[in-house]
Amino acid sequence: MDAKTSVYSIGTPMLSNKILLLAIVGFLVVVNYSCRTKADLPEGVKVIAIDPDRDDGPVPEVIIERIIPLEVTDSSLLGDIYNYLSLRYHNGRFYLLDTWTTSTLYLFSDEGEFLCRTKRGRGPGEIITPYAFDIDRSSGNILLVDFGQASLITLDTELNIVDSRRWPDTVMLNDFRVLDDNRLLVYHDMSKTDVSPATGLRELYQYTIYKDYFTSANRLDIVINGRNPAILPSPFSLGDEIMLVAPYDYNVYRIEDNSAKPVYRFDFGKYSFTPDELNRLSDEEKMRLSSSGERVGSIAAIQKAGDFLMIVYTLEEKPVNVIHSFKTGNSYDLTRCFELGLLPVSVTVSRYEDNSFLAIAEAAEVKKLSELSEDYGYLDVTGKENPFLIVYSIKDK
Amino acid sequence: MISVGLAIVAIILLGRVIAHRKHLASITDQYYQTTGEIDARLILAETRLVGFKRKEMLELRTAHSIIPDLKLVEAISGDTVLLSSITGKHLLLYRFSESSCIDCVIKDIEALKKLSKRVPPEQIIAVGNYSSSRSFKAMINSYSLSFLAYNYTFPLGVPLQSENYDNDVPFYLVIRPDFEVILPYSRDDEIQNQKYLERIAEFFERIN
Repeated sequence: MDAKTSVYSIGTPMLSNKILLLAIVGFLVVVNYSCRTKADLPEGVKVIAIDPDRDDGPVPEVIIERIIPLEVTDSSLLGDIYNYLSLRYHNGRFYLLDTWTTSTLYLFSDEGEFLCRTKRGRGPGEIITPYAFDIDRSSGNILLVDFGQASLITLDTELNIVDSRRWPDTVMLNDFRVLDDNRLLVYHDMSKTDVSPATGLRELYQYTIYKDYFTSANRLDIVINGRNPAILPSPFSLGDEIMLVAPYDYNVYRIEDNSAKPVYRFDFGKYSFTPDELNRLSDEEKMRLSSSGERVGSIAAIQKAGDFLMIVYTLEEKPVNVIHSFKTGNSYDLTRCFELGLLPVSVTVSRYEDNSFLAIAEAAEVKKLSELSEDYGYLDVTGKENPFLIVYSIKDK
Repeated sequence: MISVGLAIVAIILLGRVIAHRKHLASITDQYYQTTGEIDARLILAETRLVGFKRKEMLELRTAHSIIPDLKLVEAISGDTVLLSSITGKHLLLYRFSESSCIDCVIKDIEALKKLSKRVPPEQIIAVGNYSSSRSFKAMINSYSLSFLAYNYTFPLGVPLQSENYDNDVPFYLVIRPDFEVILPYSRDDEIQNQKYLERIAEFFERIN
């Protein structure tokens, strides 16, 4: 008995030590994990958790509201839809900019009827290299960047040129968004610039808000651990809101007045960079970890419709489409919706109306959907060479 | 005495010309033997030929002839044709791909449109390598071409005349009626520019 007691009495402190050790380790793990997502989390920022490993997660209800074939004429054939096409829906019209194959901005009606296009060339009323566009909601006019003329072109609703102004040589304009009060949010390409040893910031900054055609400028920097990253995406339009998304720490900023306010942070669990990695690793090392699939690199796109946020991120250099529900906190992998025939393989490019997304799909994918799902068996893509626009909404199940 | 002197000079010059020609022949024979080495050797051969100021086309030997039964899809009609059905005369072929620098392609096509005033349009073809026939058609539709454009999905198997070995670099070449490929000779800094096309135009004006 004594021996047992002895053993027990000896064993009890050992067990206690083990429990204590486990508790400490567990605490540290929790603290470390928490630090990944909560460190320096500004007040009011919502953390959106996404688990890249979860491939058997819930599938949402997908409601395809409209499938719109884009009219085919000799003047309206579109190029590569997956890489070089920008699409906006405004006032019952679809604006599509093909920056690569045809260097042309196209206008289609709400029913997909081809209305008009810009003319390519170096003469009066012609555009050489359109690269980005946005819609000035106050006037209804379209602003278009023409690299070939280094000019910001203003087009009316019939795509006639009504104004053309060269931007100053000091401005490097890659993409932009029209803000109110005659302001422009300009995105600069800064991939080839050096970091200043004095400030740790790159010489050519990332985003600038210009007023009155570049007469005054307000620089915006997205800084991660004191440095601005080498690669940042263009701004994203989420309805009336304009967002900037940082790579590596996955913060999402909303443009408010002349500043960028953080509103969301994505948490990819073990695929997120730790604060230590964010601080210690160079951009090249971060890119290497992203390419190898150990960490999520950049966020390729975000869109918002109703209570849902769509996120496209890259893992192992492949795009992953996820839809997050603000109501339930669920995240849905859009690829499963494609596989189950709930939605044709497509790229969600914009918001159609408050609660619906706008996607673009090749005719071949629409045909596959018609074969996969009885609901869409009526779809006939014969002779429809151009892509289809898909308007869809999501519901939590 | 003067005539004897002139005769001696003439003989010496003739000898040098013959030596030049033999040397040129040895260079072209020597340097176009294996497909894998063709680019580097072509550059080397050109470098040597610069000294001769030779304004002729370099002819590639039979190992580098183009495939006569190469299948091409006409951009607008979508008809599939064999290359052999559109040759018969010398043919200027401009090739490019969907990953080519778009500004380069635009400039090249504009240059070809000008060239078609000196080279018969039926002797010019633009050949693109696009994965989507719609994209290719859309691209061609956006120009008013006086010559035909075709899409192909397999490599042409001809070398590039450029120090950039990227196969996507836009490129002009001439195909003889027997399907052998001819590359206009030019210095590196003339590649793809107006002088290069001028050489092609002169060649076609001479043979037509």
